[in-house]
Amino acid sequence: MNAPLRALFRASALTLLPGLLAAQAAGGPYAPIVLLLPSGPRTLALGNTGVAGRDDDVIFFNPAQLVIARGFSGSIERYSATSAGGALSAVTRFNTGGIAIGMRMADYETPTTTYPLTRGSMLDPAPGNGTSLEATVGVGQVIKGVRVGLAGKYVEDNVPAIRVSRGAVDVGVSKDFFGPYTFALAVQNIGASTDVPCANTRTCNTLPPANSTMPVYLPLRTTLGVQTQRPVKQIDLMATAAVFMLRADWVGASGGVEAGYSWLDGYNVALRAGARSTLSGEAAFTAGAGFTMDRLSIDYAAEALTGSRWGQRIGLRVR
Amino acid sequence: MAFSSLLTRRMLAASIVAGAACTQPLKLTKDDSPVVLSHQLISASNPGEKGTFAVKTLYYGSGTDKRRAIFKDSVTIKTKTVDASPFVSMEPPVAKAREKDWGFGVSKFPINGRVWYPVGDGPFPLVLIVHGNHDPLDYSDPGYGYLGELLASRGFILVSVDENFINGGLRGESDGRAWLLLKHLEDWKRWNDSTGNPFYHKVDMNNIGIMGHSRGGEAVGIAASFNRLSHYPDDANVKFNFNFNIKAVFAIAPVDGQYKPAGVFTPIENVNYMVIHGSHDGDVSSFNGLRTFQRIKFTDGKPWFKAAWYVYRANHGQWNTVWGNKDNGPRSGRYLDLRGLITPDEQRQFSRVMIGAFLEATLHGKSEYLPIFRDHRVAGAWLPKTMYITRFQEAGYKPLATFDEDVDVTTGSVPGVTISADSLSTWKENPLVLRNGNDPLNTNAVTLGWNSHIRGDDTTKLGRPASYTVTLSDSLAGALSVGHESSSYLSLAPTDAKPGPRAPARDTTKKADSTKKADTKPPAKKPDAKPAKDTTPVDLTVELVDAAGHTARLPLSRFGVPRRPLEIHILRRRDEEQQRYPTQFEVVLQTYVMPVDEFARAAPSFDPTHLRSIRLVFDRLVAGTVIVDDIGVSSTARPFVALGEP
Repeated sequence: MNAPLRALFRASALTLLPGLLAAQAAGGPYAPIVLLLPSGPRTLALGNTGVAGRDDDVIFFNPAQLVIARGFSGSIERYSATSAGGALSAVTRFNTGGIAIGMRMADYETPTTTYPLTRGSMLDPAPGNGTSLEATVGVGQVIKGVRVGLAGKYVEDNVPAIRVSRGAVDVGVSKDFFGPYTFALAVQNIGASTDVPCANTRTCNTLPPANSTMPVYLPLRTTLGVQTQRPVKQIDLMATAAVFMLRADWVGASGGVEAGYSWLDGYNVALRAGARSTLSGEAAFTAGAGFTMDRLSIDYAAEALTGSRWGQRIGLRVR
Repeated sequence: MAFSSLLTRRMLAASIVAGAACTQPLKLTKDDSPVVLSHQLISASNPGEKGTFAVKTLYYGSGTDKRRAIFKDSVTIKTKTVDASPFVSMEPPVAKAREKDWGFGVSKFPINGRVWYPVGDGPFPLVLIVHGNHDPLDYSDPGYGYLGELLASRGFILVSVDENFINGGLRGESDGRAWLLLKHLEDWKRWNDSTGNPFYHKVDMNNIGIMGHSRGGEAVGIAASFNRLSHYPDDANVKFNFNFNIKAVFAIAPVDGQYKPAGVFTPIENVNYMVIHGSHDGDVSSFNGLRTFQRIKFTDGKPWFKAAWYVYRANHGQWNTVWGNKDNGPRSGRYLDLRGLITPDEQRQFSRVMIGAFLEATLHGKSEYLPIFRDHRVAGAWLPKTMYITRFQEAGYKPLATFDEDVDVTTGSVPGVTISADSLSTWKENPLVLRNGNDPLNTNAVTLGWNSHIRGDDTTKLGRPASYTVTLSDSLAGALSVGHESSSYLSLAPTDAKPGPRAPARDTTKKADSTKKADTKPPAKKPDAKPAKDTTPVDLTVELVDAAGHTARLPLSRFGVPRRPLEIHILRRRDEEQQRYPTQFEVVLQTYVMPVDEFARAAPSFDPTHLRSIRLVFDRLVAGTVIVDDIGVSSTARPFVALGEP
């Protein structure tokens, strides 16, 4: 194995191992569900690891990286026969960095008396309809050589009898070290919890009878990640890895690799594979492929879900 | 999963279709070399073939090189390091990183070289060759071994200078590259004077040549300039004392102007100079060396000459066996169209022949090789079969019209020259630019367009041929001492532009009728979607006229090949090619050196000693446009024209 590859694997392993060792069952309950869903086919194929990404959908992972991200993209995903979602994002140059907007939404079926749903329970057929929405505006700038970002978002869950909406904030920093390594740290979904009336949710049945409401938390997520890319002969190799913590409840890790090949300037095909610590309803492995023609990219990703199901996501990206 | 495999198949198919749509078909100008290179008039030995000397090699260097074992363990002669900090600057972090990588900083640059030398008593001319910018760790200096073997066998000492440690992302360091070359020469002078040194009294320090490739190609010009200066132009506190007898400077695909002493292009004077450049150079994609060629001056009365050769289908890297055919790194095959390149062997055969001939002529004094620089058709058997456009000038050239001095199109470059034209559709003077569009050559030329067709229904009706005349006054003609030994010069390049038919001459016998409606234009014909490219060979007649009005006429094509622009497509993608370059050709003028004696033989009544006019008559092609520059005469071109034309 040559030196660049060794370095790449070393960096990935160092980042992933603590998370994998510490992975525990997820806490919660978390809402809105859209904040737990993937947001772009490229990042999804890489184990949903995007904290140090350079595409416009990094707005959903780390606003600091908006400094170097450019373009706009849209993607849709079919999670199951009864649930689907999509995302749109765009970044443009602003001052010393970039400014971006992003939107995500998910549409699914939900039991009328259960809230909030998990990634697993949203896959199943149910009598009610639910939607979950996120609208984000973010900005990234360079301050003293460090990329710093801030994003404000409005999130909403809309299920039968319950409509939960909240404002939240993401902050992030990132910097390149040791040559081609980008290290990034993001804290996302900073905001207050919501009390949901027990009358509308069976979940409250597990709580002491005195409670008439139940707290639902924003999935406060702290992620530390690294991404690097380098040419190995004619292949463009990229690897990314991250450890993350959901509130103080759960530590996980994710990572992925991408191998790209260009046979003509501006044209590129890429294969991707990733793994992740799993939340309810998710399985560990993800994979995907991409094709780039000049500024336009078409990306596809598949994520393993529980019950031998696969979520399939496809997107278009313009740089 | 069926969905994903179907998707993958579709994506692959789409990629193939999209890729094919953007990749342009291979386009090359039709090769005329089977005709042009069908003669061999020079009877001397092929300078591209090995000579009679046995060849040995050795290395010299610091003996402490961390990265290069040959300059650590294998050096025969140890050298002292030099402080290049006045010439090479870099940001502190870069300097620190480089020092860590190489084991030395700018203040301790090594003098490393690999030497091919002939076995014999000598003294042998010394030739240094230096590479240009490239991946610092893909060492460039071994790539000229093929020249080392050749030149040493022909009685030259060749040194391939190691400047890999200056490669990488530095800018404006060409003066440093040049200064290092001169520091090598200082060591060689010392060795030649030192008893016990392997080169004691074996080096002919009166005959030194320096050659460089890419940035090294610019560096050799700077070195030739620094060699005669007493102070470093950018910091007069740094004193120079070189004054080596550098007689030959050879630049391979050089850059130009990356270093500008005092903000001007490096002035170069009084050396023999040759530059070569490939049309399909994927790195230095314009013929920058033409600008260097243009500004070289001969002022000391010695018989210097300069030549510039444009080699069709040659690239940047194949002159060096390490660099290869991917001019912008191992991955540049993604965007460089490599299909049109001549083979590495052909390209290096060319450099063997031309470097061999140049050094034999300039350092060994073998004048039998001089004619090749004036007209490459005299060496058709030696040259690889591709097309060449060549510029040439020797020290005796006296300009008549260079179009640089003023904006009056009727005056020449020296007092006593007048210019006139007849029936030209286009007559304008404008600056020449390199192919990338915004890089001027710093010289003007005249553009002459003609169309002998008379506008009207009769498409066979032709008018009098257009002409362009440069006339010398009596006093100037006398001062130039034109005689049977003299030659007339001009440089010319046809273009694809074609003026429309000329207006009919006005009938002055008819009275104008003011009541009549003005001439109504015939209804404009709808132009064809894309007119077929005119491939008719371009030619014209050169007329020399003496004081008595006797005219001698010869076709220009007798003295060289007037070619339409050579089509260049460097990039694989048509859209990128069109975006990056305003034209798909480089305007390179061909120099024609025309012995006046040959005109006298064609028209015995013509007296060359009383030359009064040089006239271009556009009578061999109905319509066309040419760019003309550097019209002049010389009385010292005889060694170059001695063999005549094929």
